[in-house]
Amino acid sequence: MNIKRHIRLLILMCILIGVGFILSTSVFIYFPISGIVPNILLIITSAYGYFKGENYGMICGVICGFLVDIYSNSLFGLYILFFLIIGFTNGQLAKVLFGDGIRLPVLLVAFSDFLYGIFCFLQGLIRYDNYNFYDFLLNIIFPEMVYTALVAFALIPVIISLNKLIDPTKEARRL
Amino acid sequence: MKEKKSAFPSKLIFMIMLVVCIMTLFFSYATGFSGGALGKVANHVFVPVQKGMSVVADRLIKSDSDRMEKDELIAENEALKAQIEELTITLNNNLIAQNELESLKKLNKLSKEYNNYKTTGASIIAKGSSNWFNTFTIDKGSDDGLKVNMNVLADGGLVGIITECGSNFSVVSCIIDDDINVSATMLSTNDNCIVSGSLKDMAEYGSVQFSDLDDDYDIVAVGDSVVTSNISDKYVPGILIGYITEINEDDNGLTKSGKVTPAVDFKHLDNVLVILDLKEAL
Repeated sequence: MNIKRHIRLLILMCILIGVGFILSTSVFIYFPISGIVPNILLIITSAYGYFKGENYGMICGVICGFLVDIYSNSLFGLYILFFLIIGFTNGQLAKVLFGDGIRLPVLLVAFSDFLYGIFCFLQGLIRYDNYNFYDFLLNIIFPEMVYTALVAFALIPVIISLNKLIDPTKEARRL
Repeated sequence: MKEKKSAFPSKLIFMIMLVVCIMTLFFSYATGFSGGALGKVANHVFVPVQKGMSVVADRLIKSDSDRMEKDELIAENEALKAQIEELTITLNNNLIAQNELESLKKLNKLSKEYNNYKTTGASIIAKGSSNWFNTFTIDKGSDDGLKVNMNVLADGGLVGIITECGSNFSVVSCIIDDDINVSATMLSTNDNCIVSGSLKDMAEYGSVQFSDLDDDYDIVAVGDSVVTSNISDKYVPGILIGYITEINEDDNGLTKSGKVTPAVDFKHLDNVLVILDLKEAL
């Protein structure tokens, strides 16, 4: 019984990740803000880490990181590492921080995006020269944080209600 | 608030996954593995959906902003007809000159032929999966005759090069990506330089960098065109890359470097042209 519940939740997670990937690579490219698209996979990983604990956050992170890794031209496994850390961190932070409503998850999404930006910058720093953090901060990291947080406002309730649909017996946790 | 005891020790799993990831990193560094077969599976799932999205977007989003008034269309048509007449005259003159060039070449036994590249159009169905990548996916692949290392153009300028080729899609890396270096020539002086992509410069100034230019007589100036050179091993010669916006002397006093603004508007790319001739074959 327990296994079946976990399997249903995992299948929902995979479907959400697939839809999120299509959204961020094929739909949101027509609605850019100063050339930036929101990082939907990050929202999904952060939401699962916060609402469902570290284990789900890590599994979600591994799958999302794998998808991003396939299309990257850096070492395979790098983005799996980044998303794994983000999923785990969100799960751990959820135990320490308490808050009702949607403000805390959205803030965590923004913080996770900042972490993601720092990771991406670090891996570029190792590979290329002339990498200046300040330019990236202004032009890529901050706009991505803002746009991703805005989309998170709309997306996180959808994720929560879909999960509640699949799994109504679980006690209502936070939102 | 009741703290739920998890059945799995999450910190332990995290440590294990961390070690597995680092081992994967070393493995991929040693063998050059980068997704491979797994990527092909993912692409079989995603590419048809991405193509569908692109078609939907064509109908809904783009057609709205492109609607013009009938009078504007008629006026534009007249102007274009006049331009066609002018261009036809220029084309005829060029054809006469070209014939003369061919016959002179034959006389001097020069073997290289005038380059008329075979091209095919493609449209973009997805952009990179992160804001830090500068790649996009187009809807043609090896089934349409495309191969890795084919050059991609748009608006008459160089966009990038195909880095991955599936059966019905291809992944193109833009020249503004940090990984890409293009051997280039200044059109005014035929001096060579290297144009390298820079995500930082593109985000801040909208330009890419060039370096190693030999310009002892200071002929090259801001506004000059930069095209792909003959000595590049991946890029066919003569494609416009961009225009110089800044030129500085290097610390060694021998070479110059600076910034090049690409001729292509990378933020509004939609349809691209793929050159079907590979540089190696030429």
